[in-house]
Amino acid sequence: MSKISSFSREQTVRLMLNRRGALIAYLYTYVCDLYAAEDLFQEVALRAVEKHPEIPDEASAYAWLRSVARNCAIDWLRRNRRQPIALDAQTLDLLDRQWAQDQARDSNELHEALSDCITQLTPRAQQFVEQRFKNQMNAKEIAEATGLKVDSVYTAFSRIYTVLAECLRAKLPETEVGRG
Amino acid sequence: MADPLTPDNRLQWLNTIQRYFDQDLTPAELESFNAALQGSAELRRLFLQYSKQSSALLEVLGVQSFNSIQSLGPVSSPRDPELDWVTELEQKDGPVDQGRRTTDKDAVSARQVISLVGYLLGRALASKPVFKVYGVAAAVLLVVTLFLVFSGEEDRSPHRFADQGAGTPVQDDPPVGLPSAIVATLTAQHSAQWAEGALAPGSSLHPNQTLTLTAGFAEITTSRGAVAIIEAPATIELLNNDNAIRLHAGRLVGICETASSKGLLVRTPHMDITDLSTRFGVDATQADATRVHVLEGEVEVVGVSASGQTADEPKRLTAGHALQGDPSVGLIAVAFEQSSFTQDVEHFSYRPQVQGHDAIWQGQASGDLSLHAREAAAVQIFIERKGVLLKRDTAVDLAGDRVWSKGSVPGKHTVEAGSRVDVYLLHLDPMRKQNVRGDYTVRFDRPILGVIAHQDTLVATDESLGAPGTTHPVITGRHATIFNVSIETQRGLDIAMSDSAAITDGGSVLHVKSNAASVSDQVRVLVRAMHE
Repeated sequence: MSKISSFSREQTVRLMLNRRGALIAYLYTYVCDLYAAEDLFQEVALRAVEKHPEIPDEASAYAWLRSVARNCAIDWLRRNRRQPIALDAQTLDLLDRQWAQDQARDSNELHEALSDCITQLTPRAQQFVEQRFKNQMNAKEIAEATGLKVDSVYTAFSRIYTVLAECLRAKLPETEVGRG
Repeated sequence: MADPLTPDNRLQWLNTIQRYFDQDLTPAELESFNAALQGSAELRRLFLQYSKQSSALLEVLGVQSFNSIQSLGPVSSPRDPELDWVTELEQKDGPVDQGRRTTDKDAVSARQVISLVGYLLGRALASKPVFKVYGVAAAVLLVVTLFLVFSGEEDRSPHRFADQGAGTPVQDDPPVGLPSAIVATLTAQHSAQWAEGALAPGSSLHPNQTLTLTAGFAEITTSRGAVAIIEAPATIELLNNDNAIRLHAGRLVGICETASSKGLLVRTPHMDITDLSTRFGVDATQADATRVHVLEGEVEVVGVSASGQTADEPKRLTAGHALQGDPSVGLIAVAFEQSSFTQDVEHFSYRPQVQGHDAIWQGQASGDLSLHAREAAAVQIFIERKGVLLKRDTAVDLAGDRVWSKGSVPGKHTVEAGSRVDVYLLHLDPMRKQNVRGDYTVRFDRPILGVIAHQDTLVATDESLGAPGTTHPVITGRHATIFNVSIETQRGLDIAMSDSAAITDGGSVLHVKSNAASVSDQVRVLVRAMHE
């Protein structure tokens, strides 16, 4: 007899939407490739919608989604013959506990705040961010393009992330993205 | 166990996190990173914050899905496997929630579905070098259809689109840019206190705005991308120019590393300095003169008269040279100093403020000592005192032909009262790096009577053996405070963390291995005085 879930397909889609950013971030910690993580999100979404009857209840739905995401990530690593995850199992478990505390929030609200925060960055910082996220350049490529040392690019991004986190914290006091 | 993440090393950990995601950590670094993550909930939170910020940035900047799709126009072609899940939803249930009105609080908002579908479509397009236009045709039509179907629907979601009219496309925000009145931004600061009240990184700065930094360090980036590191106490003013700063008083380092940032103008009471490339330090701490030191590249300098008019022909100054602007005599060459300028807010250099000339051994061949170091630029030798007569026995950490390292047994050593000594301070400066590994050898032409390398022993002898007038950090626990800035540091060698010192060759050669991370590692050396 198949298990009857109290979690509907609509709820699954809604959860996918609310947790989209967090799930991509979660996948990113496994595959270390942001663009692959974003592509993998599609796979997670498909599996989640297909298998939503397996979700026991709303309380455990996010944990269930993370386990689907983790399996997708591991499959992806295997398919792409990438090195196994560099963080050891104990670290991943501890991180997973932290993910469990992650609060969902309105992505539009977050994106609007983030867009606003980006405009407060210096032109140079904005250029870095654009190179990284729009042009898909990594730190080494940005260093080559700008004539800086790779370490300087990392430091620049560390500052950018810090400034953005503080800006987000000011705009959205409850956001975890701005919390460090 | 102390949490490895502190406010002072947060940027360093963020660098490590980035390097983890770029898979740029060595196996040893990865092992340390794993251990640190396990030991610190705060670091795990920072790790997650970084990954979530990256994800959000990608979503905001990586694709403008819905509008991009609309702008493609009509297309058609076989299906794209990457969009299978969308198609599957459609096949199983019809177009997603088509025609269904959202009536209960748990129902999926139509725009949410459109947003998700549009988002995924956008990613599919963006991830391909050539758009799979045919492959996404059906899905595009689906999105457009869904949008049309739901565009008249009242969105009951309490928060979503609260400030947008019904039917507003999902991503229809107008392009935004920096207001023209912003000429610079406060991009970073360390223990900064402003006379005008608290300023947060990211604060916009405007023409004619005057700021007084009473403590700490601040980094200001002009709209053209030039960086100015300001060291307290200092007063600056933003000019009506996107690449200029007036330094009324204090110290500043100008950094122009990109093409657009070149040409930074720093106006001071006694000279105007225009960057021609890279880095220069400006010292306007004296009321009657201002100095510029070119750290890298080249600048152009014009003297300013007492009436505020430019008084000289422009002079070009290259790296390793310095000029002083003095209204009474114009521009004159002065001794170049590099180490006294802070070139990074987070990893600033602490330089002992030794007063008196010839206090710094500049690295030239010298009769009394020689230095061999892996990173010679990071090691500075200060001559603290000469011919000091010790009035009492002085405790030191190392004497004779011995090694002081992690496994060695510490002994009690003293330099006897009545000895006359010359005192040197070996100062390993991390400069702008996160860490600098000091592995250096100093050979003296006289016997070393004692080496002081423990933080407590250094502090205990600062007054009696240190150079008069020197400002040393005040140590409290693992924190040092210098110039009103508090940082976690060990001032001396940290033997427990694999630093070591050894006297060899009959007592005249000192080998030091240390790792300076935040401020500096110092070793005080007492050698028999040249002239007893």
